[in-house]
Amino acid sequence: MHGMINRGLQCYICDIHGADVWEETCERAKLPFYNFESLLTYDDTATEDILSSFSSLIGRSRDEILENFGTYVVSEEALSTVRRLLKFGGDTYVEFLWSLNFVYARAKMAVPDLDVPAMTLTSHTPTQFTLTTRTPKRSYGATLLGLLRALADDYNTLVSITHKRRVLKHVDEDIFDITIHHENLRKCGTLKLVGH
Amino acid sequence: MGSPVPIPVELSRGEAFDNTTLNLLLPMHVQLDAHGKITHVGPTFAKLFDAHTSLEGQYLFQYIQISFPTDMTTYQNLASHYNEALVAQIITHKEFDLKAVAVPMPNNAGVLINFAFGTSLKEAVDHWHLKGKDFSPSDPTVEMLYVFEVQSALLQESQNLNDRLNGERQEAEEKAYTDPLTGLCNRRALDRHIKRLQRRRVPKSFAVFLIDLDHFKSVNDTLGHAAGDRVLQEVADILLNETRPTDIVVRSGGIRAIA
Repeated sequence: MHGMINRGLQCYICDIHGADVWEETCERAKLPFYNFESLLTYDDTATEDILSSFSSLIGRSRDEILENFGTYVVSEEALSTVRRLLKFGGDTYVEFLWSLNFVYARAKMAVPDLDVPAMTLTSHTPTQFTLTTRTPKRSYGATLLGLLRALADDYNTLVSITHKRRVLKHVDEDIFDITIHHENLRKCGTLKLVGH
Repeated sequence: MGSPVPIPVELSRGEAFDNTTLNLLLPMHVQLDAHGKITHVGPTFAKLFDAHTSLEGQYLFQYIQISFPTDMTTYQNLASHYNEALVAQIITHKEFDLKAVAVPMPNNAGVLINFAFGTSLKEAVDHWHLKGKDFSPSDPTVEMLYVFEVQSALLQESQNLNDRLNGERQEAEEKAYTDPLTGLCNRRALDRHIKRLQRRRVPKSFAVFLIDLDHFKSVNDTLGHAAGDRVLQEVADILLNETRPTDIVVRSGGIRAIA
């Protein structure tokens, strides 16, 4: 896994649970170091070991941890670049969802070896969408679930998202069914006040 | 942003594209009449000015200055620089350089100037809060922003990593050339120093003193090694005080030498 992702995971654990928990996680995972470097690429087992030792340490499932991590990536000020780039996709959550079709290629152009899933969005009605992602890295879909939920929050949009995972021969396929209940909650409030 | 995009203002029958099409293809374009007054602005260009500014009917050169080519101070000079790369600034925001190209409209209907952010792209996007849809769908600006943002974040990481590695390298180097007990140089540092003295461009003589501490063994034997260490540290301090800054004092397996 790319060092940027491992480093992100390290920042998340340190920020939310403290440096002690991070160090203990590293020790339990039998890592020979305490710091991931963003510019290096690590063996996938390092990330797996971190996730499983952290999971047993705090008593949360892998999916819960990854979903929280996805939320953290979007909401954390230190990582505002990620939010800024994603929000450059549009003024509304729907516009953002459509821009996800291009994220894989753009991220690959910026950092060729970054582990980003390929994403395809389809719409059924103006408020119902299906996002399908594929990646050879197994069991990371919950991260995207956290990210999608946190961005809906950022856009003041009320959504419900269901997540299904399909294990295919060479890749994991994650399917997110997204229903938009209320777009731009804050603006709606204002409109009601002025009598619309 | 690369070379100016060729502008398809004229169809085969000599009819211009309508403004809706031009707004989509060139959201930062401006159309001028034969006198240099603005007749239409693209939606992104309009965002660069206060919301209440009505640009239409005004002279473009009230708002924009062209800094290159340098003779472009009046609208009349524009015709001699059609199809060339221009550098322009918004008069209220001279910190941003805009790239531009001007082309004549069909049937002497005026001029179309298309603008782009050039090297000011990132700052301009931040300043005017621009989004992906403020650029033409086929424009590579969004992709460029991804590269900018990620590369600058990585560069910062790379500098941090270099700083850390450099600190560790210095520390390791220091350890490699010093005696941990006394802080004096070690045998390896002596070899390096003597090689350096021998390599001097103008050969000069130098001296090496070998000093032996008499009865040192009995200190260790009667008072213990901690006392022996203390003696060595004291001797080291004395030798350092009595030598010049350009000399080095070495502890090498019980032997002290001053070069």
